[in-house]
Amino acid sequence: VAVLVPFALLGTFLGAYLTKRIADAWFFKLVQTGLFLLSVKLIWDAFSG
Amino acid sequence: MEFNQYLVLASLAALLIGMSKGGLPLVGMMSVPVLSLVMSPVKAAVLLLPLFVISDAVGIWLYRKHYSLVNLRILVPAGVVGVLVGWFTAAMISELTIKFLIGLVGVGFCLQTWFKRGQSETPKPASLPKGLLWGGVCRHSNDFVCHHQFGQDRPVSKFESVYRG
Repeated sequence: VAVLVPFALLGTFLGAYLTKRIADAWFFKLVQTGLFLLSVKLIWDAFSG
Repeated sequence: MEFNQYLVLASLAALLIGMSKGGLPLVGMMSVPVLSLVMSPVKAAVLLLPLFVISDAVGIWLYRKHYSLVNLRILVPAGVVGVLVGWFTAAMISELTIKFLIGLVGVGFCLQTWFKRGQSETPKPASLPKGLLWGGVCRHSNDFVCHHQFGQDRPVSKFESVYRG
């Protein structure tokens, strides 16, 4: 966990920075697409496992 | 499971958690599913929990002047109940079932977001029944479904990182 802490802290400041500088709509469509694909993979794993 | 693969995905998950607390809440939704690709979802949640706590503290500090007291009064008690219910039920559910449920909620969230008609850009007033229900569900199910279900139809904003945990 200690190894991951710097990534989390970096991400927090990165998120605050990006919030002010990027278009929400485009970004959230990208994230939603990623979440959808991940979720389908998890459902597939659950059935095949 | 390759160590490097695990480390890369864990680092990515940590970065996503941090970004969610920094003002991009939807990004955090992917952290547990990403790690669940290479390990048990329960272990993934356990591994990431300290990071959620640390990044929560930073996120609260970043947005200490921007919060909704009305929403906090509803969501905090509901969240505490949700955590307790999750604590009692986690050991009763199999790993594959949890994977399936996480996937199902993720797919459901995306489909609902993409195909829901009549979404308003204007926030609705806080609703106590909906807030209690979805606040509890959020904390129980690790923050997957409450944003749109909460009923306020607010556009995703930087303030959400504070009261969505």
